[in-house]
Amino acid sequence: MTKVAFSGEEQSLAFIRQWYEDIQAALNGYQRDILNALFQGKSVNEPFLFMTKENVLDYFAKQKTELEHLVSLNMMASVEAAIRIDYLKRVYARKKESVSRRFRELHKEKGVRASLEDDILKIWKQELPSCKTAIDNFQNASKLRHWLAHGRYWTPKLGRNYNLNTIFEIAEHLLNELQISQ
Amino acid sequence: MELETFFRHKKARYENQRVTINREEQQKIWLTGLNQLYAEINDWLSVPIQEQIVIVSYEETTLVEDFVNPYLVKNLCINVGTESVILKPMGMNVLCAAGRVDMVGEEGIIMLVLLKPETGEYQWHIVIRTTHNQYFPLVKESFTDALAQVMRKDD
Repeated sequence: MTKVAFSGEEQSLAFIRQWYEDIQAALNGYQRDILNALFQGKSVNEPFLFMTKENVLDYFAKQKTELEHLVSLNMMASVEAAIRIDYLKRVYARKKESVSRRFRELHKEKGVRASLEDDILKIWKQELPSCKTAIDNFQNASKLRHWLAHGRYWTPKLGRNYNLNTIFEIAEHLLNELQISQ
Repeated sequence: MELETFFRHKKARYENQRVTINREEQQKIWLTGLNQLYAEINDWLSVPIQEQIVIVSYEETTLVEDFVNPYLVKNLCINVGTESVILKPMGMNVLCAAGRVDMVGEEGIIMLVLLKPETGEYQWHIVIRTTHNQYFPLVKESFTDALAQVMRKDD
């Protein structure tokens, strides 16, 4: 069996959340600098030329929405990495409990190409029914992830509104329920 | 921090910002510039107005801006056939300009900004937004080009 060489570069939800807070603080600082330039008649970089206060606030609101989108995508990718690493480690360790046995069967058939949603999470749902809600919530949020990852060219039907906090809660809840640590 | 202290601090900050610039003088420059812009446009349009091809009308609107009380200005509407172009004063609190008027047509918006060159008087400029902002003095020819850009393209 050829084993995957783990990079060790996967990011934890906690790291991503901290990164988001740092960048958001930096964006707020940049927004304050531009507003102070407006209030004090100072010059600014070209993209901000001739903006009113409302234009500046709109500009940064869009930047913050974009930041939330990209961080949401990264959080969901981080969960996928954690679940796939757990899947492969269970296969390599040849553990005896039922989830690991099912994963070995899956690995024989599909190896690393096993689908996260159709194969791995399906097994988790069957073997650990108490996780159903957490998995369903994650799979519903995956519509947002697919939309972001594939270039947003269609109008997504998400079924609910997501923001960074809801994505973080869904991601963290799933890893807790599956007892997967990062 | 107590609520009262928090807001007193905010108010003090606002006052500091307000007095960094002579706001009355700033408003005077802006409103004078706006009047000159409208006078100039009326001058450029005098022939089509006389020939009753174009009708110019005004509508009053209130601008609410930081550091000054709300004040009245006029939108200038250029009406021709079934179309109109509206010049909307956006205000004097604009980054790197003494004021901005947006020229709004059916097919676009172009910004006009009041700039002071290093030497000389304040002058209106037309802003062309490409990868870099470019701005040119507003004269009859560039005004005509701007109208053609924001108005309906005829077949």
